Amino acid sequence: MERYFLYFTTVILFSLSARAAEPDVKAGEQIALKGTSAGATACIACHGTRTEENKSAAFPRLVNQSQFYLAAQLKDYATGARNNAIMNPIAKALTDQEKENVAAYYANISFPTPKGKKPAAAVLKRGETLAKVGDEKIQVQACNNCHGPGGIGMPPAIPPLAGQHAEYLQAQLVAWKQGQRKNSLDLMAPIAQRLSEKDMQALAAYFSQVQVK
Amino acid sequence: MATRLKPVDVVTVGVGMTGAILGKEMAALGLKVVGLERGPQLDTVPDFQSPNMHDELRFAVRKALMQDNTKEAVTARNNSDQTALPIRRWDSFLPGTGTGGAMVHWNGQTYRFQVADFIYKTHIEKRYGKKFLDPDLQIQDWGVTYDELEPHYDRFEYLCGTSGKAGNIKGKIQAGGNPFEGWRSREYPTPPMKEHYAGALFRKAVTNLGYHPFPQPSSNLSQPYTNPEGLSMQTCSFCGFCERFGCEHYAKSSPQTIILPAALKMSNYELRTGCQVLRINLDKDKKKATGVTYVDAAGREFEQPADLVLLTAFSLNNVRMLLLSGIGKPYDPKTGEGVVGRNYAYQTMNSAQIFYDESVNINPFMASGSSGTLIDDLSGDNFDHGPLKFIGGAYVGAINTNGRPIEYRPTPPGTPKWGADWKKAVVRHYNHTVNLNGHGGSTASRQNYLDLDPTYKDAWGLPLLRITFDFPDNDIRMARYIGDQMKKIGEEMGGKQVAVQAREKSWNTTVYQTTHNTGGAVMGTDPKTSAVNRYLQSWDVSNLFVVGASAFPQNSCYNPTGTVGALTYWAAEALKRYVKSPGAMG
Repeated sequence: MERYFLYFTTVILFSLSARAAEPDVKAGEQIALKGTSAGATACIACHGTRTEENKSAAFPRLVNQSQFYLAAQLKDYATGARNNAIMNPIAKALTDQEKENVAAYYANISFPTPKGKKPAAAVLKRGETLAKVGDEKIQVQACNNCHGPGGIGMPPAIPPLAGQHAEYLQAQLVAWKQGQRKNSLDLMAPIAQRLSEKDMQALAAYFSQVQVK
Repeated sequence: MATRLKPVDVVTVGVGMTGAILGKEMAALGLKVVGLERGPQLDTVPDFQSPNMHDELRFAVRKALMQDNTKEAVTARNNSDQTALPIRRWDSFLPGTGTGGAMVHWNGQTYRFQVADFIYKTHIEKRYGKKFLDPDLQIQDWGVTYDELEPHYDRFEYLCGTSGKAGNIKGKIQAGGNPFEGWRSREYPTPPMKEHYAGALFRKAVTNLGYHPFPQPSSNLSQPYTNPEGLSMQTCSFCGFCERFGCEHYAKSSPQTIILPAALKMSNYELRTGCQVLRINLDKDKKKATGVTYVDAAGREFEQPADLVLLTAFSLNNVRMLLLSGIGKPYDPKTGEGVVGRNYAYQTMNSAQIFYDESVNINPFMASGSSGTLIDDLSGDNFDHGPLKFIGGAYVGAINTNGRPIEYRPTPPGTPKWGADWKKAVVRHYNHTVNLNGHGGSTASRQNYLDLDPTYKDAWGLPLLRITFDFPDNDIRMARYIGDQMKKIGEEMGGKQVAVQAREKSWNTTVYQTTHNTGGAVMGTDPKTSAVNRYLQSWDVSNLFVVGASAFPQNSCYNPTGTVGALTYWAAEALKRYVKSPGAMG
């Protein structure tokens, strides 16, 4: 009987979370600024706010992200489908509704692409070719097929690459190649496995300097 | 004057699916193989990449990947009393061109024919008696059985990595698969595609009605896969640009993703593109092919001598090449004699739309070419035709292949065809409509055939192929019956309105139906009723094999590619024996 009760509770909870209430941006802002009593630390320390970006290249930029994608990543950090020592406990501490709220707060921000050190011309060229055309020799299709022209993203499900920190982009490709990142594994792992370290560097360098208008 | 080239062992006329497979198989025997392709070389990168590839106007409306019909058209008419006219804009069917052929722009729907399909005449006469058939029907056995082809179906599906759920493994019915299918030796190479919402609505309704739904077999893959040739495929991302497009994603099985690179790796395989074959050359007594004559892109004529000629073009072009080369006796519909052009068949397509209210969101743009949900209860001879007085059937399914912006515009009957009210209706129904497909067989009949057009010529001065075709009365009766069942299914699916279009006479070349043109060089065991023997070897010219849907004695209700693939590997095995001891194999 108890098992059935649990089952039904789970079903009800699941349907509730599947139909989460409209996100509360104000509540999301509170989480971003102050964290939660359940132990999620404030996001701003690393990711900045809607109006002021944290410029450290150590953390991914949240520019131009859809609410859907941000919430999905938080859920995947909670389950371990994405692996990150900092993000896993934070995501676990957030309820599904809190994830939606904070995702809504950070959704669709716009900041110009930061000016960094310009990569070598040959590196940029290789990155651009892979991004726009692909390479038949290694059977890699153009990134922009799915990530949109100029890597601006194909919301809600496919994130932008344009203007993202090179370190972050490269780390994600490596994580897919080595099987550590398990969301979108079917789509991204076969591509990452075909890319050499140099190709990953070139792609990351190229996308990191694409200007988003 | 043609330049005579150095002789080779094997030449394939066309480098689509059949040409690429046979080219690779023959080269693997150590033979020197030349693949002649009239179109360009096409590769996933750069030719199929976005955003170019998502140009619906260029590829779907203007059909950029198709045979250039300003140079090489086909003429068509409904019966022998009419004068045929050239099809100047492809619509009813779409022959491809370039490496990969029509298997570049296909939807990936990968079926096997039924056990009974291969012994169709024997089977129908045994079950319903010899007097059951309309007098104009001309059905035949294939000369090859399902059991003989099974290993070759299997090999082709494992080459493609086809995603599906088996319904019958070695005679044991499998839950979730198609219980009507012929036995298969093992499960599909990859699991079925995700079911879209239209498929889920269909599944529920047909289950209520007592039918047996199953996931459509798909050669757009559900997961990464490496085939026995060592070539790797990726996962379909449901972009909705399969039919009429090349796959940008290495997710659709096309010769350039599944086989051609394996051929090109061998130094004894040579691909020549831009080469338009004009004819197969014969020796003096017309018993042996000596090679082919072709024109290259610069207009230079070459003779390529070869010991073995493999005719591996699109089905219609296979038949045309036989006629242009004077191989085999042309079919005469008046006397019923002759074999080349005989038993041309097509597909009898029925459709339905279920219009829902605005609370039901279908999201048709999240689509893949072959991710539908189907039933096989009404296919072929899976139901008793005795009281119905026709033969043949259709698979019925919710197969949502795309929701593209230009051409996907479902509106209910009675909607104006243009103007403000049409626009309103488009907005209202775009996301709230499910399409059903009733994919019917095509029964060969005496009056339907292929020959050379007496008037119209191609850019090289050679007669065009002429299609004389209309749906036989039998197939119209079948279509009406299938249409009635689709109406019932549509009503069970809970929409507000169901519109059904059962196929009616006459065949119209300006409306897309299918690219499943079959027959014209059919296989069999009697040279009086078939152009090639059961190994697809020409009865008249023993070093010529004619491979493709041109060999189908009539068309089943399924998409032909799986069966063409199986026949290709069946022919490849025969060719391995032929190479050791050439001669007639009949």
